[in-house]
Amino acid sequence: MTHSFVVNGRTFQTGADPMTPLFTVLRDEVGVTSPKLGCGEGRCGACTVLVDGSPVASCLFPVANAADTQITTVEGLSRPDEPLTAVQDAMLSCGAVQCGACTPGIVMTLTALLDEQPEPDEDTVRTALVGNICRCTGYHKVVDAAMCAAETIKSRA
Amino acid sequence: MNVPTSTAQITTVEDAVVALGEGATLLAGGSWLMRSSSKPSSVVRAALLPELGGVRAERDAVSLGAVLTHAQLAAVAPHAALRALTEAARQSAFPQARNVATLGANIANARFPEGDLVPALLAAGAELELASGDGRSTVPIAEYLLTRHARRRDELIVRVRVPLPAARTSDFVRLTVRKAGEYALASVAVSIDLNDRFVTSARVAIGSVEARQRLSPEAGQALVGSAIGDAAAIADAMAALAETLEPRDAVDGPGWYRASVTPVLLKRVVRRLTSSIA
Repeated sequence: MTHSFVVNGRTFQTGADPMTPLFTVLRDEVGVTSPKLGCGEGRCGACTVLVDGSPVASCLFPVANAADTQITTVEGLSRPDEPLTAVQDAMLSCGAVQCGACTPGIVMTLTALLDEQPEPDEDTVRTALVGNICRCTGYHKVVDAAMCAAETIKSRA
Repeated sequence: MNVPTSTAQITTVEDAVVALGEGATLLAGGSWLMRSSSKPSSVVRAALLPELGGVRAERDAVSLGAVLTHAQLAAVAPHAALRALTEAARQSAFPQARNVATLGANIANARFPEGDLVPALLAAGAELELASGDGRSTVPIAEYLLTRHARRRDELIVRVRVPLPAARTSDFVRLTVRKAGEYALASVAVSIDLNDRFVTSARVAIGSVEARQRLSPEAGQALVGSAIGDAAAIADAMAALAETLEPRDAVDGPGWYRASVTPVLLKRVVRRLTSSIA
């Protein structure tokens, strides 16, 4: 049986087993490689993608549950010939990217956060990031990036 | 080898019950099934069963669909009697988990003593609406938990009904090793009925401390008859709770530690309740 869903604006169909992780289908069939395999058990957040706007751990998300949903990954945030989003720019300018393993997941989590809460305080940002583990940065500059991106978005509105 | 299939055409509870009886597995959020070493041979998607969805206001109660996620529960319109549940849902885990993990699976999973929603539902006196080959039934959650490990294969939780009396207030606290994100080492839910500032009835429930979440009748009783926040009543309740604990050892924390923090969590919940009323 096939499952159909939209990835970054394009409809896709897969005949993969219903319990195949969405992560695997995205990387191996759809060809979006931004979600990363960290823990493989849904805790580290490196595999975070948005399903209908909500962050989920794609390594634990059965592709059957993705049917008829809209999935967004980093590849869907801005095209190669387009400027980066405010979140992406801020992660760079605030020095929040070191090894980069956690970065795609963090970008998706922060993108969803600012869509839902355009002016979060730092506590809200930290709470939103509990599902994204970073071994390099100590999170301070990630939080700075979130606050900076919020300012940028607000000033553009 | 079985080729796993998805029974995507199942959209009624009755058809789901038949499929479960034939060996299918109910797939809710998937966060437990996807971590298990064996995959089911066929699945019924809970998301496709309309009866399992949504929040329905009833007279002095609310009916919660079993497929509601923690995130959706956390966003339910606030009522003091429901606060323990919405707080448990809000504090649990982290966003990626809260966005998929469901109310029904939190209750039904027999290998999940850490489940946060269960103590809140116990304190609230929630009832489960079940469906199986035997038809529909309504069971208090405390009773369900006693046989959670041995339910019928074709049974599923359809909805959860939580009474919302006007004079009731509740809250929930959990303790993790690190600041957030993990399964709780211990959690406490308290639900109290007040007459002015006096406690006329109280339910205290604990989670993750023991092999199974449960109510502590002794701790609840110790709070009754005093003003909310009364220090002596709180101390009595803490002692009564401590006396009955049979804590479990696990990799995230030993039993003696869980037992030592649980009464303190009870004090914290009651103090939170007290200041929310002030």
